[in-house]
Amino acid sequence: MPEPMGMEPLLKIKDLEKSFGGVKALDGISLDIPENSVTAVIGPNGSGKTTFLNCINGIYVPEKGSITYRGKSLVGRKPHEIAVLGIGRTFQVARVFKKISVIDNVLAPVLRSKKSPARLREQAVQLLKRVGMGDLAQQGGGDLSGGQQKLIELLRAWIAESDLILLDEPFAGVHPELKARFYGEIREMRRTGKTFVLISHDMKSVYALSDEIVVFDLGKIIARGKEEEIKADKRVIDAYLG
Amino acid sequence: MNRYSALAWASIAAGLAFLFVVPLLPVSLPYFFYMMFWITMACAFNIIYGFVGYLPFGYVMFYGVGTYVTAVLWSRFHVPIPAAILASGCIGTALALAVAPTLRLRGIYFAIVNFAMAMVLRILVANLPFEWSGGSFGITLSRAYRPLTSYYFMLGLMVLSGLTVLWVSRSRLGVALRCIRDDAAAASVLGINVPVNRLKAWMIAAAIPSVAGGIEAWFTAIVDPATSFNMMVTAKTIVYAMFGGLGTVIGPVFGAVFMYGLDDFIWGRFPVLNLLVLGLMIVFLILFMPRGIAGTALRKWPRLRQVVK
Repeated sequence: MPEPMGMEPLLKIKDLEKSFGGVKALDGISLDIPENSVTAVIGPNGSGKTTFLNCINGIYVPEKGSITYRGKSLVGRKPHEIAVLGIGRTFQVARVFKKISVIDNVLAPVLRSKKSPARLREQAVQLLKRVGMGDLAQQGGGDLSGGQQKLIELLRAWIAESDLILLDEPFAGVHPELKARFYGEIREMRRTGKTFVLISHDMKSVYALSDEIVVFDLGKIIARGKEEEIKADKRVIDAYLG
Repeated sequence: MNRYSALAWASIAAGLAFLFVVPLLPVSLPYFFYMMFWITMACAFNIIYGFVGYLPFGYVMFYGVGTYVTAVLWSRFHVPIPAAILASGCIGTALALAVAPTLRLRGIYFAIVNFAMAMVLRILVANLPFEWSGGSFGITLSRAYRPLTSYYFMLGLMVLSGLTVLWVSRSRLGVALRCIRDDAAAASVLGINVPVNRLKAWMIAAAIPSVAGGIEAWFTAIVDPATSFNMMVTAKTIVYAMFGGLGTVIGPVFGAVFMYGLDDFIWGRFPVLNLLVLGLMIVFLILFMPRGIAGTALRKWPRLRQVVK
């Protein structure tokens, strides 16, 4: 979806650098994420995609560059402060709390909410029912399949009403039926104005969901554009698509 | 309230009524005093280990500081015992706040540093000016000796600590603490302020044994460094809480009642083998019931969650 003229991007990243030892994981990344869009970040393993998300939500502090969300700098803020600003996150390997119930897992991001606990609980039950997991509300988080755990992470972003949601490989190892539910949820959230940054190796999903595709290689952006542009780009073919 | 909850509450009420009339019955007052003491210690320990996953090997330091604050304030500054006990809680909590930076450590590193702090405190207390702490001889509180009153103080503290655990477990703080225990980094990304929530749990878990130490000093009317900072206090607290089931409300209560009873039984019959048998019980516990009584029951009968948790 093209950015309307004069509209500030929701997330503005400029000259981002992050190193581990002598290896530059991010080497001068600059990227604007427009509101109510899906931006896919693709690239070979080790190209810096997850490090990029980790810098946005405060797990890593970049050495250089700026990250601005709704005009507020994110660099140096703690992950919980960034979450409160409205940035949600899912992980490459789902990080569901294994020893607490599924419903408490969904409610975890709204512990400080001013809404009534009963209302939030009802909302969580409805969300679980919608993705076909209503019967599992009282089960432990550790009893869920990998795909179900990933859906729980997405439901957390739903209930937290995060405006920007960072999805790290949400479709990896997920059953096709669950993947269809993921598509449905992402599209529904999109309709309510949410913005996504999607990391995925699942190119069908990337093409189906994203407005723009950004290709990372060795910590740099080597290409960006629509599906056809990416497929035709020689650098992308050499580095990733083969 | 389902019938399991009703049964649980009825059992608790009956148990409390019994403890209330114990001084009128021809039974050992110290036995029930110490049973309540261990229930209190196990409940408090459950907050920091069962809910947050931090294992303080030097947990005895809060109890030890509590005993000494009460004893010193009463004997040297003539502070009334109830006020001295309250001061024990405040100073124990302040101590927890002072050592809170160690909460940045995790796992065995936190456990070892905490253990070392307890040893340092023991040496410090033993080396305080003799006119303050009585050196290795300790302090006698014989003129303050009121076993019956101190018994009811301990009963009150036990009820308070049980209610605190119940509140923590059912509150948003409890959910936040369990999230931190399971995955602190993921909890942080979800907006949970890990250091602040962890600190709240740590301070609650420190305040309770500090007050318990003050009451116990009053009950026994004597304190000395070897007893007040005895590592067996930590060891027994851990074992009793684990045996019942960490992270549950009722588990540490079961664990303390059962294990203290067993410990007392063994002590009475095999005084030399007491620690050996306790050691074997720990091995048995870790091997066959790592989740404790309540945790194992919960796994077998998930419907008990409302009662146990």
